[in-house]
Amino acid sequence: MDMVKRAFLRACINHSCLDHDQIDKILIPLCEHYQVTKPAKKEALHEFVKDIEGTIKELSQSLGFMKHPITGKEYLVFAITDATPDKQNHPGLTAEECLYFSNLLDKLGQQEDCHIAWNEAYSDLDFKGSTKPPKKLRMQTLLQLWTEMGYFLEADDRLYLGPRSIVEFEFYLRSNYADTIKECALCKQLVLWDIKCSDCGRKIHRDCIRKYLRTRSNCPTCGNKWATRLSQ
Amino acid sequence: MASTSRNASRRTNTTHSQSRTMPTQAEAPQIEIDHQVRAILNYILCHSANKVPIKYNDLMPLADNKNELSKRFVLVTQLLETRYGIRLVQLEGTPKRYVCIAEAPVASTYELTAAQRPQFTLLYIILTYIFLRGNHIEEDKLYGMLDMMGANVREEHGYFGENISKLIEDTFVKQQYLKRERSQLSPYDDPKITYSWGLRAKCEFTYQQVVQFASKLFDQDEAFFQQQLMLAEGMDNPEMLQASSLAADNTDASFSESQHAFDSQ
Repeated sequence: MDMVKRAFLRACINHSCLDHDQIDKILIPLCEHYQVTKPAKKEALHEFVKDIEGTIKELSQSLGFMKHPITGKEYLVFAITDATPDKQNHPGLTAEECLYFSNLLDKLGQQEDCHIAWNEAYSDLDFKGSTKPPKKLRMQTLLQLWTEMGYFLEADDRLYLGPRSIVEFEFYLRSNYADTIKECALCKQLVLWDIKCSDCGRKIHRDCIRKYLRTRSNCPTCGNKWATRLSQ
Repeated sequence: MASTSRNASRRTNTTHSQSRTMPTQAEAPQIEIDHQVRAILNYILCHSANKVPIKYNDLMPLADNKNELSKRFVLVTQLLETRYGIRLVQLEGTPKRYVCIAEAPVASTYELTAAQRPQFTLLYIILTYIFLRGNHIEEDKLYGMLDMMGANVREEHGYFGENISKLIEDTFVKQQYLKRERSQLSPYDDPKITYSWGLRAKCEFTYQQVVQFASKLFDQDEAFFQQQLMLAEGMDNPEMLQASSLAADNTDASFSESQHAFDSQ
């Protein structure tokens, strides 16, 4: 089973971000190969992942599930604890390509609603006067790569921060974009999309407010009666 | 000071009990996992992603000095092995370089990303072909085979991508999957370029897997490749060479049979 855990960890590091479909596709042949029972139920899988995380936590790494508010899907994310975009884990990229990543992150962080139109990903970019900015085709390739890695997420022709960015850059986003990105009043984690109070405009996690409104009826930030519909 | 070292040894003991392959000699027992260890380990981990060898000297900026680096490097090597199943293998020559090799081959191609799968398939085909040719093949013959399969190295391929020749001559060689050698019989002859399995291929693939792949590819029984298997293993283990020298005489014969089978695909 240890070999399975290590192999699964290597696969997680390789992919950087996995959805449940991908997890199953990896675990089924892997468990078969080593003749162990695959963790079937959700709790068993979470336990399995927690065990693995236990071995890497002290090495500044994390492995855990997160639900992305835009797709509503759960993802397993491998992240370096408290990373910053400039210490990019992307050897083999030129300085300009790393700058492109920072540019994208910056654009998203500065938007009130933390998403941009897909074509904005290729315009108004600052390469600090470099003579060798990446060509558009290269930028498209990189964006696709980073999306697969979970740094960004595409939905409805718009670009959002992906699961890995949300986990890995939590501290960076919190400190650098304090005007646009705030924490949820209930769970204290960053909230980027989800739902806003119709009175004070503060964002809050849909799941957090849903639970809260079972026993109360006002906004946890401004105290006024909560009037926004929790539709979805 | 005393309490720090007590904590250090307590933490080292935890590390000891978690790992199973910790050497018993006093391998710098007071080294704990500090931020330098984390930095070195994370550097190696993220640089191992593209499989290009890591220069030992590049790790210098991550430690206070040469001595500190060498102490921590040992711990990092152990951590990589026990927690990630990654072996740090030193390559021949100077400057000192290392590659990260997984303790076991992937159980399925799903462990690879979508972008890596076509490369993996191409590599498998090339390694199989080299194996069938006695672990030594001339570049033009290799390219000829790929062309025959519909993957001309000078053209863009729908699945394998553009620049297949760069992938083979540059990427796979740098990643230590393939060994590329140049030989020139005399200054008047054209240089010959030959490929053989690289160190990483020998660690990450087994001949048995390749035989299984070849038997599916050519629709032949695995025993059909027995001679190539013996030859390849013989080359790796010279003491077996006597037994396989007999096999080598038959290799050409069996190869031309498999080549014929290949042609008929």
